[in-house]
Amino acid sequence: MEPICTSPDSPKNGFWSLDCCKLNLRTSAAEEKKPVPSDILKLPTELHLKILSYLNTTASVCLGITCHYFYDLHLSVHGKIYLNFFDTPRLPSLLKEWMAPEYTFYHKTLRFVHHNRVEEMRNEERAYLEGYFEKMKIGPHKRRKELVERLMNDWESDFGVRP
Amino acid sequence: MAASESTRITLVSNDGAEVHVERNVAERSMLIKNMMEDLGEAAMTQSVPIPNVNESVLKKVIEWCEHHKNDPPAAADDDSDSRKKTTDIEEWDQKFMQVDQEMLFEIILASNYLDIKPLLDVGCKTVANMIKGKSPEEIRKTFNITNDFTPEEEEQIRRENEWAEDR
Repeated sequence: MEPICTSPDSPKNGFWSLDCCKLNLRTSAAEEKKPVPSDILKLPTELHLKILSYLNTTASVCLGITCHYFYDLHLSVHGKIYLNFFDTPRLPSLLKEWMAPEYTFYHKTLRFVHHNRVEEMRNEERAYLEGYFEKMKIGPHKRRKELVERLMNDWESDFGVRP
Repeated sequence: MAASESTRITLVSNDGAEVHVERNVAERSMLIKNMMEDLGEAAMTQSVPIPNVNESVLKKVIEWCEHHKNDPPAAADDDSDSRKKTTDIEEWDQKFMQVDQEMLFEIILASNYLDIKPLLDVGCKTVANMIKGKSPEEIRKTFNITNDFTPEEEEQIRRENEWAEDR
């Protein structure tokens, strides 16, 4: 039922609230037992902090950006978290959806970059690597190209950003 | 010894249900333990009200206390880092915690109120394990959290944490 109510670009915008009322009437009996409010938010702050104490920084970031309340708690415990391979290797892949579609992760800079820029940056890297292999006198052109693609794929899958 | 172990006391939940329980089981709760010490003999004949916990949650908590009644008492302040960081949960407790979220958070609240630290730890670890490895969107879905950030505020977070390159 929810998607109908929350869809921002519903074609029947004018009837939006009316539809919602009808839906609520119909579902209220079935949903009486299942309150919509989040159970986790019923806990007092001290217990949220206790839960946070069991989270690593990656998980704390992911909880933090779900809503203002948890973001403030996360900041109070961990402060700002920069992406890096040693402490937060899984974070880029978990943030991928949240950064999309505006930003794409780029392994070489360990940052998300604007999606307009990422192909350009990948091509620069390809050219650099191909040049390097050529200087090292590795294989024919086709072989060099394969090698470059494989390397770049491996690096990106290290961060889990590519399957 | 045998006599004191079989001493039963009566707890009364906030919805008026009487729950009979062995004293040493109930005393896994520091709140109840302290109450027993304060009340002395009177506690044996009177029922003990537990005003913040309903029957189903109280029974569930007692089930946990029953299983763990012979656990060695935890060291007075066992909050060392090594203990805090691990979220390993023993198998019986994992199964015990396989309940719906409403019950899970009720157990956490009850163990906090009744001051049963090991149960509170297990509860919080269970929640931590439900968060770990999930993306923000998956966490919102799991716990029914509403995203109250505007797109501008999310952009602000990206910038202040330097997750995105300025270009």
